[in-house]
Amino acid sequence: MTNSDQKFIENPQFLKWIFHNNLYTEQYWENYLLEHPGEKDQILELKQRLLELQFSNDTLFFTEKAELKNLIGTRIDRNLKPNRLRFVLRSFMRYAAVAIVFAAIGGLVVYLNVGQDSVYQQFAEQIIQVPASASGPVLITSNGENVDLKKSNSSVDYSQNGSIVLNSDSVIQATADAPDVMNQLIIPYGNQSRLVLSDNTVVWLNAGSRLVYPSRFNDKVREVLLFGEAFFEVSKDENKPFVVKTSDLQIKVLGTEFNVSAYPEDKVIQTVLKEGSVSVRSNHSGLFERALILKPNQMASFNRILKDTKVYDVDVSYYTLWTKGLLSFDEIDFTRIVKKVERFYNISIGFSEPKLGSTRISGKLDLKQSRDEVLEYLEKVSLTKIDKLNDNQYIVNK
Amino acid sequence: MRFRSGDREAFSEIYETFVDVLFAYGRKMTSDRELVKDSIQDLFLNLYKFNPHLHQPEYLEFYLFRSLRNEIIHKIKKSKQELSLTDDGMFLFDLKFNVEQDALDGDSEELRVKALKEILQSIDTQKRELLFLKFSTGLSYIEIGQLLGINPDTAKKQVYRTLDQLRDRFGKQLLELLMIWCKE
Repeated sequence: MTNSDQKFIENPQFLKWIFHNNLYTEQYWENYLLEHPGEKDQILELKQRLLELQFSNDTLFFTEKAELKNLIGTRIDRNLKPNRLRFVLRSFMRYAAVAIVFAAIGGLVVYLNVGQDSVYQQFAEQIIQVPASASGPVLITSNGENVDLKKSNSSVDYSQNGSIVLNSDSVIQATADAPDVMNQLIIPYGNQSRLVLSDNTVVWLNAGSRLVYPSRFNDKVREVLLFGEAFFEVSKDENKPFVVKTSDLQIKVLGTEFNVSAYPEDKVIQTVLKEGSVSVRSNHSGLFERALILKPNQMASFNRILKDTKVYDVDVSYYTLWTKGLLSFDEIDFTRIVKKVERFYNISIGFSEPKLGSTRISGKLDLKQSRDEVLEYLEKVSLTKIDKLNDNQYIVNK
Repeated sequence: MRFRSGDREAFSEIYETFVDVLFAYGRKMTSDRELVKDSIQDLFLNLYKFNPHLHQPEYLEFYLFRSLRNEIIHKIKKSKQELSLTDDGMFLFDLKFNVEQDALDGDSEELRVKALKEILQSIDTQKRELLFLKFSTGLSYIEIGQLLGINPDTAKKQVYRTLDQLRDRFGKQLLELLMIWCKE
């Protein structure tokens, strides 16, 4: 063991990372590795060695974890209606108090912020039941009708005034909505969709995502809410900014191409800019905090635990390839790739030993290939064996 | 902590942060995966229901582990699966080191693995649970002691003694550093 090994072991954050890792420590070391590329080999080697001291634990499958969470959510909703009302009232009172304090300075700003938060919250708390019979993405129109899009790779088009074109062949009549009446497109795992909004903005929605948007925008601003990952090609309109709202950030543009990944179960929200410029602002930022402006080929990575944003120069194609059914990765944790593959094929992949997931791998996947071909390729690049347990559960073995 | 106002998002963060280690812990008490999942469900439901009483978020981790432990023991007793409990009403804490699965790599490795296995088998279930809690959670000796119903000093001593046994197998320096870390 070298002296510099000791430096890491004496750092309590390091042992935490290995023995009781959490989102915070994971992020800490991810950032550390990015900022100190020279120490990377040494750190990863030391980690591998210490991992031997880790106990062998049983793990929940990805789908089990999501199912369990849903069950808890449903039970909370069913049992606790009266209590929840109390919570809502209480937090309303809290906002109201803040609003009164700030009223003298700039009442309108505060009022708008409260309004925005609550709209997002309202949609975030909806428990979305994707019907089990649905074979593809589900569109919920402004009048509450559920439309099953049937194809795993579907399209929805609002650019023809007054009607919605589905999968470029069938047409449904759009209700003559006032501006800002919300529609939703829900993409289950294993699906993707291309959506054209009424202003001709094109949105690719990735597996396990949800977009809330109006059938017609208002005169001042184009606003959508995103849960999950989407790539946007925003049509230019200098007078009407386009705003993507996520749990913690809002991203504002005039006309440009960018990717946003904001899955509720992920610890980071990543905004990657391909062309033009975007501004990224935290929902929690103070009145005087400046928004961050991204340049092309940059990524703003917002950490939801630390509530801070870091900007990196990146290869944009890596973040947008999914729209073409491709996935490329360079020195990425195996677990990260596995997570994407799980979402794409709607399967669960467990690890027989946690340390198998921390190997870094590079390569390119064509997700249009069959599931078996993709898993076979993954076995090769990660030097593991992926065994099938049943129809949609797999386990990675040494 | 935002969680106290009933914020669903913060609640979900707590779930994502702890569910894996809680599940791993529960699975060492029983081989019944469904029972562990049910217990985790009840645990989080109760946490949501009673969270106004959880005035000290710094005890959150302790609360989660204690509740899960109680919940599982309760469920095992109720389902009359008492076979999975030892004579004195304790569960078998099935602790294995990760290296055991590497047993196929070469002779020296094999010996080391064998030695490790022996150590883990020679210590009683409570000490195994103790080791798990010390290494896999952020709980303090005071909290671990409370959880297991033993004196915090005893807990600390037992961790040290077991580490002593491990010292030979894992190289002196590494273990010494680990022990410094265990002092806190």
